[in-house]
Amino acid sequence: MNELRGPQHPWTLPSVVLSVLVLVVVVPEPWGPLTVALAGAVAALVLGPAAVTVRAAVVCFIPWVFLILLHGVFGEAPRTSVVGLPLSKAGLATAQAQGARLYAVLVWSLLAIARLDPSRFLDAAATSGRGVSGSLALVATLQAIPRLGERASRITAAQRARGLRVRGSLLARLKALAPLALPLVLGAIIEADDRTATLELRGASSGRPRTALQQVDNPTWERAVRWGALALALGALGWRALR
Amino acid sequence: MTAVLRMDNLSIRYAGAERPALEDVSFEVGPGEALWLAGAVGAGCTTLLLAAAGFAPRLTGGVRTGSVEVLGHDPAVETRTLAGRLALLSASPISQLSGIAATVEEEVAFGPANLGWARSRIDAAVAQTLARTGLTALAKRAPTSLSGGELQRVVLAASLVLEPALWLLDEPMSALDPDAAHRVHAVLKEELKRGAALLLATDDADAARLLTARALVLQEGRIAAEGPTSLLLASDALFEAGAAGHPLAQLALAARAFGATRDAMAPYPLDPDDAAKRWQRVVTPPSGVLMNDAALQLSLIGDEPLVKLPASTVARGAVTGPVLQFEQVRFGYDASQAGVLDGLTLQVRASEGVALLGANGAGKSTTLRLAMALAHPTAGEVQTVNVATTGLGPEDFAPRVGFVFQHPEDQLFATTVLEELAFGPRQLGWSPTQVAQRCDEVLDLLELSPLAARHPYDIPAPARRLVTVACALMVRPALLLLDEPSAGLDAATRAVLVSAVRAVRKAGTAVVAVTHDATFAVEALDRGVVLRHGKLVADAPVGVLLARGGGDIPRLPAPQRVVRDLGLMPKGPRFADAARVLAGHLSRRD
Repeated sequence: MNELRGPQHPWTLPSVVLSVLVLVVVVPEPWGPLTVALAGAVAALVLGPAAVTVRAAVVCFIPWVFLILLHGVFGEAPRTSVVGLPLSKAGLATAQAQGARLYAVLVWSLLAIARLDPSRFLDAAATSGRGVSGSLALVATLQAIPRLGERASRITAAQRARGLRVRGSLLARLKALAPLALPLVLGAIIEADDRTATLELRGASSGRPRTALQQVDNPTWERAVRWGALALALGALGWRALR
Repeated sequence: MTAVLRMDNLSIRYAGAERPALEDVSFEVGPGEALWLAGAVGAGCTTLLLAAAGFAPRLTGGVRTGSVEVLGHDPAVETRTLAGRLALLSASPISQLSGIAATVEEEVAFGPANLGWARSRIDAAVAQTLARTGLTALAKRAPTSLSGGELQRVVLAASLVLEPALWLLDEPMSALDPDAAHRVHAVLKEELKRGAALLLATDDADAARLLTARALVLQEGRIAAEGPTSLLLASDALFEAGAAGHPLAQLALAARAFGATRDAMAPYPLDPDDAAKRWQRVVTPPSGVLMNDAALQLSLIGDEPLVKLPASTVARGAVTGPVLQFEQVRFGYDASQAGVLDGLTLQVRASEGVALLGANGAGKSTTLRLAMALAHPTAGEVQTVNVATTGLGPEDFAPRVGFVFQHPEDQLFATTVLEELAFGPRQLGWSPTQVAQRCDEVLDLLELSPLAARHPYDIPAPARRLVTVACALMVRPALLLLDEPSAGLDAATRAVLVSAVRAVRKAGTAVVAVTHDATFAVEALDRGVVLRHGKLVADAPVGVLLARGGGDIPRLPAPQRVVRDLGLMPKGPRFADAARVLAGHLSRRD
């Protein structure tokens, strides 16, 4: 267990997640997507941070309601009563499968991002002897997500200090969207230019082989997991194509 | 001598701009040479730095004619060749982080690793650079957890480690405490000795004088004057180009305006000692104490609390009870940062202007956050406008408290300045007539009326800063909280800010400002509070505090210092008081 919780090779979890993202699309409904989603929640609870399970659920909540209403109301008979509403049984099954897919994609992706150590990721690329420019582009893009999160908290604080109420009814939340989202987008655009300049000045596009700042272990079992994940994804795609 | 940077007939025009940002600019800078870029807002200093780095117009858009060469290469084209040879630092350090590193140490090592340095060389260079920039103690901290001033040193260190051939600096010391600014200054001097070239764009004429030998004065994108920095500073060339000039030259100019008829003409003195010598001949110091600080014995050693003045000495105007009260407040963001505030007790009354002073990371911004209920104390109590902040959020205090954050980009979203100002009052349910009337008042107060219909992102950065101050003033706050309000402002914009702060204080608003800017502190505020490691260690009139400044407390601005050293008795610590009393003496002997 400690081996799992500790720092794995930085490519292992992303490889597993990529494979899972393929699997969740091709596994049969209704139990396939649900199993993958539950596996994601368990992985997050075991590996940490556990909070991503809740975060993914919060993001999924409104789409889940929407999916239940859409498929439940417009789905085919027979119908069953849910809190007094006659909803389609088949529609509910579809909503459950699509909702589980959505949650699975989110929880696995958030887990991969939360556990990503950008520096080790680059070091792994450097140690492998491959060029790091692709890894750098990938890491810089993924790191934009937590940076957006930090900026979002600063913006929320600034707008709340101007009287904006960000909690309350759905309508109140919708009204709060523009003052929160627009500075986020505008700031991100400005920051992207600054960041590009910084990376360039510090030799990120120098084309020279990068020095690894730390030793990144790549044990056999992790290499096996990555190849296994790739094989699983390819197998699932093949199975789906032949079916 | 081979030029490190050469520009030949460089012109840059941004898309849709009425005039070129730079026009026919030609000059060169050699190894070990430092050049000061002086000019008013919009003169083209920042564009020139971006062009030297190869980013204007490549990243900014627009068209370039003429040529730029760094070490014989065009920086816009030969980026690989020049990687690590150029360092560009701006006043906004947070956007200059790599975004990859988890610790300060990794941030500094990022560049050398990219350039393929050997691991042993990286380790040695990083350790040495952290020591040179005073960051060793912060090596394991996450860059995003640092204060603005600490971040400014981190981005400096991240460039310094690469031993660049050309430094391009745009207000690089704006958020630094005096100690840190001194250290950075020393590092840049060492870089010049090593043979690096340096371009410095700053409004801080004193820093420019001490660091650069040559200056280029820009006006509307063109070179208006060029020559030795001290000669230009001692002349009227900078004033004629609309730039701020040296504070002592400003003092002489102001003394002239107050009636001085001799010894107030160019060449102006640039060193406080020279100024004192020059004016000592014609000044007869009155007998008695210097200013009003003789009675106050300040001890700025260690963490022992200083003498606290009685409230009556520091509060002016109507006193209606504390507008802000901290009672034995303790606070830490997390376990690793326990004690960001350590038993802070502080009272601020109506109309008071309090400068929160202290080193970067001393807990100053945190104090403001707690006052606005953006965070809550782990022990003790904070009362803002006579209401305990416990269980409340910033939106609950928005009708009575204005807050200006460090980064304007974190709040501006409307399509016009006018709409931006109206946002806060509309949230609070003001009528359209009330909103319109207040918008007019605030736009006038901050001289923003000509920009009312412009998009906040299309106006110059200093004006954008004023827009955020305007937004905070819209609700006629009882308490105004300002976090580094004058950072990145040119002298003219700072004067507008000072005048607005004085006006709202006269109307009863208490102002608490985190600042390292001595000029802003003495011109706009009257009380200084020094924090050290989350503890209050000094609380006194700001003029007195700055007169004893040094270490983590800024020193009194040079003009006031000179007048004080002459033994004159200005009415107060402000620039105008100093100029007025000097003018009295410079006209008396005629």
